[in-house]
Amino acid sequence: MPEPLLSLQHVSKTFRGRATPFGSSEAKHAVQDVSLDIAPGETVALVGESGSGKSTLSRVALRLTDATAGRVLFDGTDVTQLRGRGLRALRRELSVVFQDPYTSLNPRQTVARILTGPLRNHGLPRDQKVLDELITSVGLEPEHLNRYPHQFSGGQRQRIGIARALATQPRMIIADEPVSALDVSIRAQILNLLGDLRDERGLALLVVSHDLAVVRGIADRVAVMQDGRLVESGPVEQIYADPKDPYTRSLLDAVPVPDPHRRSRPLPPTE
Amino acid sequence: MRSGAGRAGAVALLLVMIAGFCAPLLTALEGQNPSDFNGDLVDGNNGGNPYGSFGGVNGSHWFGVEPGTGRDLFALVVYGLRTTILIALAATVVSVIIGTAVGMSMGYLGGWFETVLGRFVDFMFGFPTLLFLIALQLIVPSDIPKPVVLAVVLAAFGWVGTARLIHTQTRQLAAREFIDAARASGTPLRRVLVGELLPNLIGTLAVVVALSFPATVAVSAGLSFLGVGIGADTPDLGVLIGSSITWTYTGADAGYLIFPSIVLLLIVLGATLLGDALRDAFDVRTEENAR
Ligand SMILES: Nc1ncnc2c1ncn2[C@@H]1O[C@H](COP(=O)(O)OP(=O)(O)OP(=O)(O)O)[C@@H](O)[C@H]1O
Ligand SMILES: [Mg+2]
Repeated sequence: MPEPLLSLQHVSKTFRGRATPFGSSEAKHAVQDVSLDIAPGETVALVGESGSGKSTLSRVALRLTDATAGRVLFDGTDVTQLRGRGLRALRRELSVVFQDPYTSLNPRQTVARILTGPLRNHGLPRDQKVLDELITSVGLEPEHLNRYPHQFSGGQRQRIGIARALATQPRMIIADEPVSALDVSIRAQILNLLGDLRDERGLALLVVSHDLAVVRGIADRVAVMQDGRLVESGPVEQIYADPKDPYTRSLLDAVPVPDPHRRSRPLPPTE
Repeated sequence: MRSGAGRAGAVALLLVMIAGFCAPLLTALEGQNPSDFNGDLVDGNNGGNPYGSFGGVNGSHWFGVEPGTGRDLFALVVYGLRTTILIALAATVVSVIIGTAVGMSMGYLGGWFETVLGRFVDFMFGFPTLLFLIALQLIVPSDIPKPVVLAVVLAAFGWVGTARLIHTQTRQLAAREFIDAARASGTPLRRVLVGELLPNLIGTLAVVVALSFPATVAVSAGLSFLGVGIGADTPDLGVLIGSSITWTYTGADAGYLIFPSIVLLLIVLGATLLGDALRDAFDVRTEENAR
């Protein structure tokens, strides 16, 4: 067993309730005692229904928010308490791709500027050649560099988001619902792009999804969350073939069976 | 239609601003200056009223002359305009900078910092500013130039509205994922604020400047009108209007009141129309149109 690249150990995250004159509202236990290891080069899918705590766990791993309990280890280093410069290695080697390509790119920055940001943060070379390579690696053209996010489609924007995540040549990417905001017809493209980049660069990947079908083709392992807890985890084929947990089974049942006639059905009238 | 009003406002504001900044040039062109007393142009037997119609308007005194002293009114108005604009501009710039810094840090940092500062901002918002301004003007040592005192005092109270607006906007922006993306790649705090957030606030800031400038002009003129702003020795629109009202009551020609008032109206109305048009263009929610 290789040493894990990212190791979440007994992580809990509780959001304090709001204090009101009539007492405080109930605290929200978004993540409860979750432990999860991801080995270098491994792809883990984190699935669970909306509100099960997937994003919160990802944000804890990215050190965008503090865990209320537990530890986060990256490449053997405990980063739970680190701040500022202490987080340099994590910031460089662990990247993120967000769900919504419309809010995850700064509308006032050109693509070049967006890609330069992470390079600048780590004092890495950021000449034209580097940017050209980055943008072409996600299937876009160098002339796209001078444009603004609003000039792109959702799928293209997500490619820009992926290019930004790749800029610092990380060892791992956390992708929080990377395709759920996209048109169904381009989801596969983006997932394939992520998979190809992972294979080329030997990246570890944590792909968050509320849809088991989305991650089947890409993941080595699946971890299932429900109400803030990890209820099941194992190799992807095992989870699909023989889910132990009733909740996982219900998630699997919810996966729609491909229907060859579905696409030919007339679209509902638009308003 | 909407942008038509905005454009008209911009033109009016621009003309008045140019007139203010070119005050020496314009008065030289007229062949007058604001400090010459012309006793021969006013009728001592008629309470110091200017000779001639409409406050003594003629080819060499375009707006007529000031009752009593016979000083050239056009010169007084353009020099007064310059004083008024400079004070309001300085106060607006300073207050917008303070308001932006406070609002952004509150909205981005959140937590107890936001709570504590938010209480202070609310306190300042409900403060009886005008009373305080009047009191302060009276106790400030007289060797500090009055225009400077006025600008500082206006700025010290003017930032509150800006801070509130920028606070709300920053909170909304900070919740967007591009800010998390910037943080996740190790962007230092200063660069998140200046490089990521600030460029998204430019539209709001344009509106804030355009709307708080006329408000500042109005308050500053009001204070001078009340006699606690600029002293009577410096030409200032508020001072002019203040003394013209007294003269008009005692039967002087209305010209003395009308010319400075129209110019003040042009600044305030022009800037407000421009600010409203910008607000619509940038879709900014200010306190008043949010209700
Ligand atoms: N900042 C916050 N303050 C309070 N509660 C929060 C906060 N962020 C998340 N929560 C709560 O924590 C729980 C888990 O949220 P989280 O976003 O992690 O779920 P998720 O699995 O990512 O769901 P989704 O599929 O909808 O993205 C939810 O009940 C949510 O309301
Ligand atoms: Mg989520």
